Amino acid sequence: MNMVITGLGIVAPGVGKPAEALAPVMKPEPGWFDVAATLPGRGYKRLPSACQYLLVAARAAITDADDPLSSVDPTRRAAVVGTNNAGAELLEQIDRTIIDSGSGELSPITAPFMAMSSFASRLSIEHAIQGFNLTTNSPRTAGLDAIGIAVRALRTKRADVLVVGATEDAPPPGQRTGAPDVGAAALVCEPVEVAMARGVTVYGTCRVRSFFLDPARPDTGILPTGLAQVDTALDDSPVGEAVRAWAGTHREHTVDVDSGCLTPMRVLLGLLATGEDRPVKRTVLTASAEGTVALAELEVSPRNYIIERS
Amino acid sequence: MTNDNNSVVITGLGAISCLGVGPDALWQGLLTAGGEPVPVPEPHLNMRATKMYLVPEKDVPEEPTTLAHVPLGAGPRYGVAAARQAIADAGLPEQTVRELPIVMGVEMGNASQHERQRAAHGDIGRWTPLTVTSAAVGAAIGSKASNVSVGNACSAGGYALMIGLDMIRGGEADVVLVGGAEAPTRVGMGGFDRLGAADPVRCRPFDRERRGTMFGDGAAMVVLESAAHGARRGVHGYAEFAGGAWSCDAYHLTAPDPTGVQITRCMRDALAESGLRPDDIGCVLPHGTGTPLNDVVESGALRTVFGDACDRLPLLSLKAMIGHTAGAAAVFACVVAALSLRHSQVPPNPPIGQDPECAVWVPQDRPTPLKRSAVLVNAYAFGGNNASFVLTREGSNQ
Repeated sequence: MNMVITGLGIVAPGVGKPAEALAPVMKPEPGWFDVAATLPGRGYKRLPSACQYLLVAARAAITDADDPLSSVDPTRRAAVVGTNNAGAELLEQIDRTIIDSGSGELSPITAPFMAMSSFASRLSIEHAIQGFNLTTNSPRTAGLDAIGIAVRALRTKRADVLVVGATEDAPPPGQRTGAPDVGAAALVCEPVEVAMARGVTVYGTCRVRSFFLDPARPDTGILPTGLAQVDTALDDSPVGEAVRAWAGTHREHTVDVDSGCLTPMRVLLGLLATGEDRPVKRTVLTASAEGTVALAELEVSPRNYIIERS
Repeated sequence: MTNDNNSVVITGLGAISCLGVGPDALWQGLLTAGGEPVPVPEPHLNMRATKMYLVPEKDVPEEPTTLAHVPLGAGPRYGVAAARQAIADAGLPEQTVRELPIVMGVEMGNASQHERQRAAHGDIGRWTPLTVTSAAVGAAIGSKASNVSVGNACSAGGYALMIGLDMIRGGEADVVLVGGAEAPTRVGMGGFDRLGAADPVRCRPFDRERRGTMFGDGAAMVVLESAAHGARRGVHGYAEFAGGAWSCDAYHLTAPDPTGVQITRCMRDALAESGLRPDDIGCVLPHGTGTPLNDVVESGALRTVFGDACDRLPLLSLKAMIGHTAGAAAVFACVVAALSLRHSQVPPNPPIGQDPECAVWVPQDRPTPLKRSAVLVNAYAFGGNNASFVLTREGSNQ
């Protein structure tokens, strides 16, 4: 079964729509995200920011895909979300409260988000996603890992439609150096046959492969050859520099990353959203200082592409 | 060993827990009443419940101390130690280890290290992600292959195991190292304390006096291998990983759906994928946390799936003996299920005053013979993220 991507959604500073996702990562300015305007109604205002971002991005992706969830039984819907820092600052705040005042002073509303899977769990509650809900958390590669797991889940028939995403908030203040990953990106993935029957726009297909480089001796000789044009999302760690050098001959353009797993997903969304007038192959490559490496191989559909029955 | 192309077997085990180092220490400890909770020797535990089932201090590995720029706490070090055990147990050759994918269920990861530095007012400096355990294992064993960490809270290990299963069945790999590892965290303990989900006395699932769960620390790792690959190596597996299923309550962030509909479906789907009927199951390792509602809901769901056979179906309440090991819990349960099949018996549960609302059989005092060739494991988590899977005696599911 081939997976296709039929919906895109993104929330990030300075990014208004998926086609703008290739813009440089910006530091969030105060007030950049208006929760009252984007998530009207009860029960949203006090959620952690990264949960709000995820809910908005997922809604946009589901709407963009012409709501494929509504025609699928809740037990066949699934969500896979990558995150590194969604609750990192919250964990620090919780710890400070325990140290200074005791656990009795913790907010019962935010305490559940000490488990970073709670961010995706809130998404599943929102959309009655009962097939499964899975959070990935490998450094930097968690977002692309989420797509890889979604592709596998469709192939093994563990779900019929998936919302796949990444959501991030800034790491705690003591860990910030540049423009952190802040925001969320979401995709809707479904079998090509279903997309064809629904007559919806198909942005493309994707497969994900991952590798590991020893951070002490990053040997890029294990990385595959024969890739399409490569867009990288890398940091300045020894692993990042080694992968950057390896990608040199293939590289289309590069995005410098600071913290989190959102930027590679942003690049992927941007490529899918800005298709050309013909199918093109692209590769998104990312790596962490800790050694995880993931690459997403995209077949980007022509703009406004609808698969017709043959 | 079976040669069914779809069969996946467990060929290596690793464990480090409050019962000591190695799967044998775990098994012998379970046969002799399990572990006891002790005060957690961390500062600033300003909360009601301050005990855990801890790995003895002498057994806490000292290496590795860092991964790239990241200082490593006990959690990743447990993971590395258990991974080395599992690889040695499986007898994997060096080349296979270099190509060995790793999937780990890790929720709090390296948070204990962050907390120690925070309490000491130390500056962590550059971005230092929390969940580096799987990467630490990859670096330590020299794997160059896929390295994925999943964080589905207390069921993370169940998800990791089934990802490994699907990777092998889908032809992505012949062998996958799957595990989970956690260490004590003030945030985890304090958060559960605030939510009224922490028992200050001990972890006592299905007991009428239970007041919540109590954490344990450590790591459990298993080597999953295609039966065909294992046969070519001439190795004897502990058990077959016959199948499993996932579901999501989509009901509440912390409370289980009181109807138990999704966990019931999960167990039934796991049995169906394994090609088994309820009466093929000889033992259940329940999620059984000791939180009041979870145990009642899970008992009800077991009753729905197994009917009156629940009166004769032994449960092994693992968390009562090693604590709730969070992201590692399902992998610990997998290790113990494999050992139960190997030894054809179920260790005795610690004494409880059973809650009549939990109409399940929790045999105490002495081991129970394992009369059937399959064991069911349940793993649940915050957000209603459920996993159930089945292990069978090798070759029994033909």
